[in-house]
Amino acid sequence: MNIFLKNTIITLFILLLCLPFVLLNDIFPFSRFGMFAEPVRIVPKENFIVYATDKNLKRKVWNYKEAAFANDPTYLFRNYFYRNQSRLLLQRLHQSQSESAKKWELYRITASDTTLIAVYEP
Amino acid sequence: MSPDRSAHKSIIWLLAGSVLCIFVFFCIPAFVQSALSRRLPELIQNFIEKLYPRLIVEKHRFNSGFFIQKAQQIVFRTWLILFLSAFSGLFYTKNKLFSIQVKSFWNEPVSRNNHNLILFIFFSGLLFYTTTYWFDLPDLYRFSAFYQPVSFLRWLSVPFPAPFISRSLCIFLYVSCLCIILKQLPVFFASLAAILFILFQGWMNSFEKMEHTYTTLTYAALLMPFLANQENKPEGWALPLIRLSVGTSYFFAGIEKLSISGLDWFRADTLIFHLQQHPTDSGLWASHYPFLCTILQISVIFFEIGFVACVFFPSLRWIFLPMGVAFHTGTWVLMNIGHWSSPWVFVYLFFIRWDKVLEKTRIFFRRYF
Repeated sequence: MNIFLKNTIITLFILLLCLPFVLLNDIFPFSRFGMFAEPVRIVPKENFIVYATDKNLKRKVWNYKEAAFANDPTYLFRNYFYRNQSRLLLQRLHQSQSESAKKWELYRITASDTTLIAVYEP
Repeated sequence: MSPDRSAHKSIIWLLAGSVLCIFVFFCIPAFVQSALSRRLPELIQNFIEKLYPRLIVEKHRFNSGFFIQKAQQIVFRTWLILFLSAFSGLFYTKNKLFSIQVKSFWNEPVSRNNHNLILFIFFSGLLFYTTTYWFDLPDLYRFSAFYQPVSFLRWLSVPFPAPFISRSLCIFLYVSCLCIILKQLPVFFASLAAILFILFQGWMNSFEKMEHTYTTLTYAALLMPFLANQENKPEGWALPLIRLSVGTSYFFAGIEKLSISGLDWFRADTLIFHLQQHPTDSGLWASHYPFLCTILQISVIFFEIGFVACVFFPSLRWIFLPMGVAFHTGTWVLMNIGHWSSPWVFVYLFFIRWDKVLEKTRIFFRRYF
């Protein structure tokens, strides 16, 4: 391999390693390692829970592990909530399940209260 | 170009870049306010939202000060990279010893035995880590309504694969790894394995969240075809570049903590908060001891920022590799993040001279058995 090609690959690779750090963003397959970097005082505490009511009117918390979803989907619930797409989220969850529920509910829990955000009844 | 002329050019670029960075730095508050209230020209607004899709979510969670600080960080980091490049360029042209050291770093002597052992261990590991894809991707297919492709998958409009496709590609990946282990067409199969692994990683990370578990393994996979190509050459640059990519990953993780949170990051509440957010028995126990938490935090920063030194000074590997094992095991035990077989620890294989390990093991067995 000639020197020019070698130098180009090395320089380009190092630049790509630095780019996510500079732009504060992941640029797949190059990553920014910002996990646990934020000061704790600025992170607002909130949680999201999805309830599914089955055909026998039994209501239970939707469990991502039982549903074989890869990660804890709280981040996904949060993203859909802030994009005003909570109903779409429940609709998509319904589509992804083999045993469909009769009713889906999304709740947002903060330090001060619990709010029903969206309901989806197929 | 003469060294003096090249040095002058570096200084001029650095000065011009610094002036531009200072100007942009002071324009940021107004720019961020306009971006948050969507008053920027549509083209720029769309570009920002494409680059930072999380902005739509985060602007509801954080105040404008948060975004101004982030934008100023971007300018500062741009300047920092500019400064470091100009400074190292200047040092390279002015200092003969440094330039010789840089050249010898990028032309590391290749030991054929070590090279073959690294290929064998890496692709055996890749096989091990990717076995779960056989089940994970078909499982995720049911959630493909949530699929939001990342980078090249978005640019190329690649859909989420149906189970038949993902399993067929898995077979290709496993066969590629086995072929390299059996020393069949290593460059071709290392390239194929890298493409497939990155494709799988892309799919797994296309659900609005980037997992960093496999990042360093991905960097190594990207460079493995070059390493495989250097088998019969006296010197190689792929191995030092893989090591550097691992070192900079830790370095940036450490610098992120200090640049975002400053010295506040060392306050015991930081770790206590994270231990409570990811509760385990041992983590909750540790959270009752603020002094212990502070010690752990100082050790983390020392390890993350210092690790890159062992890329250049092999004798430091005796300190930083065991620290790395302790760090990842600690994160797993205290917060249940990661796994006992962390890929971050697995890539330490590139820091070990396997031919020497093998030789010493042989001597040991000959002597005692």
